[in-house]
Amino acid sequence: MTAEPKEPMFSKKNIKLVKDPLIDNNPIAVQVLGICSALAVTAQLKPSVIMAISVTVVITFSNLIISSIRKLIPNSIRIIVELTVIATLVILVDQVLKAYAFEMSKQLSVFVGLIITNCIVMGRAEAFAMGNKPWPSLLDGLGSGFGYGVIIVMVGFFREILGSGTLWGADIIPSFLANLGYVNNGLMVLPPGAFVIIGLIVWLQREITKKYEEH
Amino acid sequence: MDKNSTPYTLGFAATITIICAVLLGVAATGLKEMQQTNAEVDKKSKTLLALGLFNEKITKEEVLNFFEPSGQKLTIDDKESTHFVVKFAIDHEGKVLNDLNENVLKDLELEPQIKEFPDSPEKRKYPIFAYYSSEDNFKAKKADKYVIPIYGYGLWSNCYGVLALNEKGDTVENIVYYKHGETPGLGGEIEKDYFTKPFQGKKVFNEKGEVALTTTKGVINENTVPAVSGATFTMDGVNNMLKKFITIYDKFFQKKRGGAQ
Repeated sequence: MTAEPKEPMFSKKNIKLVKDPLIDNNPIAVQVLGICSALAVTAQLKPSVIMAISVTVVITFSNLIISSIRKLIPNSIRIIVELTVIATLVILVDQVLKAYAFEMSKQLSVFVGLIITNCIVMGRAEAFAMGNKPWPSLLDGLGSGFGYGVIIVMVGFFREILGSGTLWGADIIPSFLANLGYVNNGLMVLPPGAFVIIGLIVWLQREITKKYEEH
Repeated sequence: MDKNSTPYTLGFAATITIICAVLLGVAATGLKEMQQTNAEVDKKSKTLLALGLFNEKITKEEVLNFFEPSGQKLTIDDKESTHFVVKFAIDHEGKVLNDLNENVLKDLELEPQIKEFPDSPEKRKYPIFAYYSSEDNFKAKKADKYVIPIYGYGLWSNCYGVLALNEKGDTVENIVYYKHGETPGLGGEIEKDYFTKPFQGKKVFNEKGEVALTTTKGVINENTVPAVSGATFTMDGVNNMLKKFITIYDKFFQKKRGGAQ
């Protein structure tokens, strides 16, 4: 039996796994997954960041765990096994938030629990982790988590500034502007505001990558 | 063993379920104490918020201090004084229960009392908070405000809140909802400032002396505040719990007002 040539841990292929979902194959901007939570939690920056971290943790570990046991999982129940692993991780994250970041967990309310239904998590488990070794799967999870996180943090950043005139809870709009008649854009606080920003981000992303859908 | 055989599949499913369950059990037990402290601090913060004493800078310890016999120093409008929030209990006739065991009082909650004695209100003990804004008031037992807990069913869940009333119990100081499972954006709006702010300064009773504090989609007068649209069931819940608990606690305030009303 000949040993397979060992791949270096940060080979080009592996780095691509992390880098690709950031811009070229972004889960939100290109694959249009995870839109629901991208609308729901991004009215302010802080919950967006917490959500981004939570989702990254869940995807990374679900990918790692599922990839480690992929050869043991019976084919007929693989989806439900993936779901069990993901659900367990999500509940863990929820419990930890409740213990260490109570205010945030109240603000994120049901949306932490709803990470279970985030298509990105399930999608990566089924499409990547089931067929790849643990290390690349972990990197793939990190990449997808960051790809998701980058977008919702951007959306949260703009929505909070434009909608509430604050950033991370601190007022940043100078008072003389308010005296001149500046008002916050109420649309940005509501979910449609997120659609507008995500739309603009998708446009920007297409301009950078020059990859368009063929029609 | 064949990976796709039925016994293997069943065994695998059972194993993974047990592993996940054990993991979650350990995590939930391990974090329970911290979560309970958080919930306790949160609830007390909301009581302080209803009293207008809470701001972002107050630490966990300070929040708990307000409820200690030593009180918490606080500067409001450049005037420093010690503030006290004292929990006590009343019976169904509004009499203050003075001889209550300290530990019983500490753990006394409104909801369990009502659930424990559904048909016999005379056995219930109702928790209530008195607020003293200075040491002198505290010594003279002259409360500035009172806070009563309220709860009730909205659309999906029980909504829990606190209602701060003035010392006569006939004017709303503030209302805060701290726990609910209503739809975010609809019924969930009860926790928002724009819903609770109009309550401030509203009269509890109408001219006939009936409990008239309510949300409405109609005319706003000294008893009514604007309802949240799209949240009719939650609003019904809010109206019901206001009426129910104000009626109960008013027996206490009636004695203070000298039985008038």
